[in-house]
Amino acid sequence: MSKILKAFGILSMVLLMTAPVAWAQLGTISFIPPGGSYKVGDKIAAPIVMNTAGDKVLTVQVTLNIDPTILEVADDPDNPGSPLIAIDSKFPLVVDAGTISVDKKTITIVAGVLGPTKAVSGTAVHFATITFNALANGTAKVTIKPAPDTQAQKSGSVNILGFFNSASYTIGTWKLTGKVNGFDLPVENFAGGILSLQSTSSNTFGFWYLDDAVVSPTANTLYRARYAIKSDQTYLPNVPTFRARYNAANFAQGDFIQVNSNDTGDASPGTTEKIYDLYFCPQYDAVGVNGTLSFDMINIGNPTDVTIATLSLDYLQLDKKAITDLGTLSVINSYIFSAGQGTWSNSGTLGTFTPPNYTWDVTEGALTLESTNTNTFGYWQNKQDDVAIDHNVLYQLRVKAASAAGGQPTMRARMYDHPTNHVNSSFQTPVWKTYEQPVTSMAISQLTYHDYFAYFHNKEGVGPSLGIAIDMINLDASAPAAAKIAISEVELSTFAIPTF
Amino acid sequence: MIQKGNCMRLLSVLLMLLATTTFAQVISLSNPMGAPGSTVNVDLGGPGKDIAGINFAVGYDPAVLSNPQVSLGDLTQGCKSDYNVLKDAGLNETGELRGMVYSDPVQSFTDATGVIATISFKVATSATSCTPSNLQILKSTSVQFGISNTAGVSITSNYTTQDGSVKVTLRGDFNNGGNVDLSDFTNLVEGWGTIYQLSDFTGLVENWQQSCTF
Repeated sequence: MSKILKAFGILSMVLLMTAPVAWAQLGTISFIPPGGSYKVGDKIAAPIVMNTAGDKVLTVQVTLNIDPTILEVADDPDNPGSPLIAIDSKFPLVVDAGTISVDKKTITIVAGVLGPTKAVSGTAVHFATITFNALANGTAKVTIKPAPDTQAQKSGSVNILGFFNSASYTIGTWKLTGKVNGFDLPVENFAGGILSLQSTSSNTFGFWYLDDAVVSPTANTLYRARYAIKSDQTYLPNVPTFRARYNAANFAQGDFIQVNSNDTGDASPGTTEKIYDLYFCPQYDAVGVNGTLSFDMINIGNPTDVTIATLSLDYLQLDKKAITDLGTLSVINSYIFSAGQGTWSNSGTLGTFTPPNYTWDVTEGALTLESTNTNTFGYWQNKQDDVAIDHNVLYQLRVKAASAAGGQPTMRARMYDHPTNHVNSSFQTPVWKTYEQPVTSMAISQLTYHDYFAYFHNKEGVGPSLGIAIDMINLDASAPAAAKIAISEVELSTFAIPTF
Repeated sequence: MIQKGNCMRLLSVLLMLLATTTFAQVISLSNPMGAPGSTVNVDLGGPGKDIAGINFAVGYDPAVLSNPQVSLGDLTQGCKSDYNVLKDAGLNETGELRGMVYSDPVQSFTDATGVIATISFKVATSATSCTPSNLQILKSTSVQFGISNTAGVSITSNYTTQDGSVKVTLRGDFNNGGNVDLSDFTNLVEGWGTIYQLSDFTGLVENWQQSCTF
């Protein structure tokens, strides 16, 4: 027995001795900022910065890929024929000041410090700044190729980089709009790749938008529009509401996330930018149709929002990934309405809107919303504390629904943090009255079901539950008064947060 | 058809033949790479078992390699060595190194296969890149090549030899990897101001991303 205890003691000592050993942290190389908004003809300065994760770097090799139809490396005016790439003076031994491949897709830069005593380390070590020319409209991604093409080496020729972050620039003519229904238009500013909106009253609504930001989207593809947004407010409840929004050019589909500075305003941005990810998957009539990305300011009605405040979009990145590459889909909740409405409830009457007729249709085996005029708004919602919210997953909401053929009122599927409603993610189809024009000779009982998909990553909404609601919006005077939406299934699932 | 009993007898005979056969063992030179201007180490290797002393001669091209020096290998730690670089009347190297490694007190080298001695050469800065420079174990006389055991008996006949080479790579290939890349650059920066200087950097830039095939 004592031998066993002795052996156990030795084992414990060994474990104690080995316990403090930790995995070495890998460094990161990025563009800072990782994007911006520019017009054709602009010059884009793209600084490359490293976080060396505590290591001391001697040499750096960076290899980039660009789309030469949208971007090119600018020519150095002081040295015509040479690329405009400024390597930081900390790296005076320059082996390659910027070789551009024949197809103009790849750029390589190699430089090192002047001896081992000059090794550099830090969380934001500037390596070089490349200046691009914006050649054409579109989303221009600049990819840092991973090791071995891109490395930062320390003593012993050991690469310290493990993370290689790309940049994405939106190139096109951003436009401002929003002067509708008596709202005040915000004051615009567009400089240095940053878009800003300043509210002028508590009745301000307007948005920057970029047409054709999403080009020929493909089916079964998840898009992530990453908005980097900051405000000029240090007290977060003062920050106006804003939206990050996508809509297909034919308005067949729209998706947005809306951030409200309710109560403590935890999800709203202060003076340091925050990242907001809008996920969407173009479906049905939106597939193949170019899309618009928008940045909306809504300074209306929230009593804590200050009258004059500025919101800025530092950059917007667009990435995409096949749904099939998202990994395992885990079903959280499945609501099937074939036998009744279950725990779902309707919104009743909302303000001055006419509520739709809410029914559980035994024939359809579905929840229905039926309008009788074009001032109709209402929704079905899940039991609001049914789902404990998880900040570290991507939610997928599948709504099996139908609308009366020809009628097509807007159906909106929403997910949000309940009860705080700091972040509200919405999918809607269709978006605009184009799809609500009167159509005769179609009976509203003719329903065709489709699966519609909405996505949501709730990073910062503090509400403990995930609320789900399916809205009917029939508010256009030219739309048919009689319209119907039927919902037979709602399924909530999760993916791991995707990387792009 | 072979009967089972016949099969067993045949196998026994084969095993006996194997047991009584002595396979010649190999003393060889390695084939390292080395950039012009660098110092390269060539290993004289083989089995240490039963060997108490070895003398060897290595022929080389003095226009490419020079200043050979011999040091002990992992099989001969604690042993003694000596060597001589043959030179002509003008004190120019003739291209032959003679060396010996021996145990004192007498005992066998380490019973393993490994390095008996390491021979370092300086690679000429003018050496042609991406070209091998052959090394030959000379053994036309017992003075050039001989192996003895702990009883002082020659066992040279139990060994064959295999020649080697120095594969001359590129200026700037500081890690002798056969190409010039970021690892070489890091080597240069690590040794900047001590081992390496501007001319080395120039060599690296000149041959950046070049590689040799041998």
